Amino acid sequence: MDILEKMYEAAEKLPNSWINDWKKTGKVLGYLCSYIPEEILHAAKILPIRVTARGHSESTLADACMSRLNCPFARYLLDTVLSGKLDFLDGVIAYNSCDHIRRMFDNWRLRHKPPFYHFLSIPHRADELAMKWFQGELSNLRSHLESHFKITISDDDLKESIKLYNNTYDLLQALYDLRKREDPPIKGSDVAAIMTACLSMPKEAFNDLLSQLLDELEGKEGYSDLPRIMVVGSLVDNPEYIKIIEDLGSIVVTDSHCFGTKYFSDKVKIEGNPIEALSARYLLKSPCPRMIDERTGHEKRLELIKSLIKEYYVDGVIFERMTMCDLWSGEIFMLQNDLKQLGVPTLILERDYIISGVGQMKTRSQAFIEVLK
Amino acid sequence: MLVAGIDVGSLTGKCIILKAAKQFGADNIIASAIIPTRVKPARTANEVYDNALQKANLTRSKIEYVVGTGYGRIKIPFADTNISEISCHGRGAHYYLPTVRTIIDIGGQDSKVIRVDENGKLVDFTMNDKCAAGTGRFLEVMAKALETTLDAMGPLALKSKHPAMISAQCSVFAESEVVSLIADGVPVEDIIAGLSESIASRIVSLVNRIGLKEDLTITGGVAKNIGVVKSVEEKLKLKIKKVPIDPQLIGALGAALFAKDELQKKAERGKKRKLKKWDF
Repeated sequence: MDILEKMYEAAEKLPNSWINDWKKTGKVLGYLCSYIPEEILHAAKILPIRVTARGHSESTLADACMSRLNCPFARYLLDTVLSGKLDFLDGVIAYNSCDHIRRMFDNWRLRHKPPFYHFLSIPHRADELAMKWFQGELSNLRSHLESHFKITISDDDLKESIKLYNNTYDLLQALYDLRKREDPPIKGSDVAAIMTACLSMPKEAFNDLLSQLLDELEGKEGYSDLPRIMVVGSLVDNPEYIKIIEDLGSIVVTDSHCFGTKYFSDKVKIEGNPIEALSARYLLKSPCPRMIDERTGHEKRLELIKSLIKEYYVDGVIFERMTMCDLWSGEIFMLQNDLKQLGVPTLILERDYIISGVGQMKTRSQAFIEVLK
Repeated sequence: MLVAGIDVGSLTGKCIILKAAKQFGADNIIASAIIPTRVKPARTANEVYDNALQKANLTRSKIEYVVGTGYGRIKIPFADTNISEISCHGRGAHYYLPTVRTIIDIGGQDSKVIRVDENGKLVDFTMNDKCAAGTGRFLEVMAKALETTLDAMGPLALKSKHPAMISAQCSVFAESEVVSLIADGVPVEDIIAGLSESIASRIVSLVNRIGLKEDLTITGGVAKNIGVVKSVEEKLKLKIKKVPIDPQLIGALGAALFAKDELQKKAERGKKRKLKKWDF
C-alpha cells in the first residue's frame, strides 16, 4: 500500500488499525478542538484522537436529544457516541468552544457516561489574566490525568512531547510549502486526508509516513494551470468535500480551518516552563472566531488570511459554512466584506456535516471557478 | 457556423440553435424549444435537442459545438462541454442588453443574482439558500393550492388592491398559510399578490447582498410572471430592462454563445495561467 493510501485509510473512520494496535497496550482519549494541547496527553503516554462523526451518516439517536436548530456536526457526533462507535475511547476532554458543542458534551456525559471526563475551560481572550487562568486549567488537566490513570507527567516528559509535536508542525508546514509552487505536487483533497490522518494516529508513526511522502513529492511534477483556491471555515474532515471543488477544474492550495493551518502554523517554545509555553501557544495561535480580544479577534484572523492568500498565490476564497454555526456565520459575512474590498473573489458554500445537496454545491462551485478563470 | 446551447433545468429543458456570425454581423437564433423536464436529464436533453433541430430542419451532424448548462448539465451525453447556468444567464442577458450589470434569474429551484462586467463575463453572484422559497417550484405549488395556473397568476396579482401578508418563507409553511387565507375568505388575487411580494422581498435581499448596479434585468421562468416583476421594480425603485426573447431561454442562449466562443478559442489553446500576485 502506498503512503497516501495509508493516510486515506487512517482518515476514513474511527477506530482505524493504528488506534486498534495502540489499544492493545495503551489508553486513548478523544477531544475535538484545536485548543486542546495534545502534547499533555502524549506526555501521559495516552493517544489523543480528534474525534468527529467521520464515516457515520445517521443522526436519529441524537435528534431525540438535540433540535434541528443545532449544529449538524454536533448532532452527527452525538449520534456516533450514542451508537457506541466511539466506545473504544477511554474518555473525553470536553471544552467550551460554542453552545452547540457544550450541549453535545452534556448529552455525552449524562447519557453515555465516558470512563474519564474532563472539562477544560478555555478563555475567550489572550491577555495576561486569561493566560494565568489557562495555565491553571492545563495544570488541572495534568493532575486529573495523573490521578485517574495513576501516572506522573514530569516537565521533561512534557518537553519531549513538545519536541515531537513541533516536528509534526514543521513537517506539515513543509507539506504546505510545496503547495506554494506554480504546480502544486499534491491536491487539496489528498492534503485533507493527510490532515485527518494526522489527528487520528500516533504522531511517531505519522511523522515517519509524512517524511517519506515529502521525499516522494519533492521532485514530482504537479498540477498547473488551475485556478487556486483557499478554503476557510470550521472543519473539513472529509477529503470528498474538497474533491468535489477540485474535480470541477480547480486546485485547493491552502486553508484557514482546524484541520489545516490553524492546527500547525504555530510552534511551542521548548525553553522554560512547559505549561506556560503550551498556554501561550494555544491561546495565541491562529485564532478561532470564538476568540474576541484585540490579539485574537477578527482583525487577527483577517490579517492571517490575507498573508496566506499572498503566500499561496490564491485566486479566490471559498468559505465552507456549516448550517447553524453561530460563530462562523457572523465571521464569514465580515471576512467576505473585507476580502471583497481587497478585490479577492469569494464564495460562501453552505453545507451540512455529511455531504448532501451535491448538485447545488457543484453549481455554486463551478460558477465560482468560472469567475476565477 | 452552427452551435447549440442546452439548458436542462429542474422543471424545464430548453434548447437554442444558433447560426453564429463568422466575425462580424449578427448571430441568428434559428430555432428554440422548451419542454418539461423528464425524470432523466439525458432524456430531457435528447428530446429538447431533437425538437429544436426538427424546427430548424437540421440534423445533429450539422451542429459543430454543443454546450450544456442547468441542473442536468453534466448528464447531457452529446454536449462537448458544460458551463454553469450562472455564467450562461449572465452571458445571454448581456448579449441583448450590453449595459446590463445585474441579472436576476429565478428558475425552478434556485434564484440567483448575477453580476457581469462590461464584456458579459461573470464576476460575482449570490444564490438562495438550499430551499425552494421564492422559486418557480414555489409558484407551481401555490398555483395548485389556489386552483389557478402559473400563466394566470401574474395578471391576477395586478388586480389586487390589498395584497395579503404572507410571512412564511418556506414553501411548505407558506402553503399552510395560503390554505388558512383561503379559509378566511381572502380574495385569490390578494393572496397571489402577497405571494409575489414575498418572492420579491427575497430577491431584493439577494440583490442587496452583492449590491445593486444598473442596468438590471430578470431572466428565467419566473420573469414571465408580471406580478413578481412589478413587485421587484417597486421595491428596488427602478425600471427593469426586458430581454427581447422569452426570458426562460436566456440560459440556453448563453450556452450557445459560449459554444461559439469555444469554437473560436480552439486556436489559442495552451496559454499558461500566471500566479496571482496580490499587493495588499
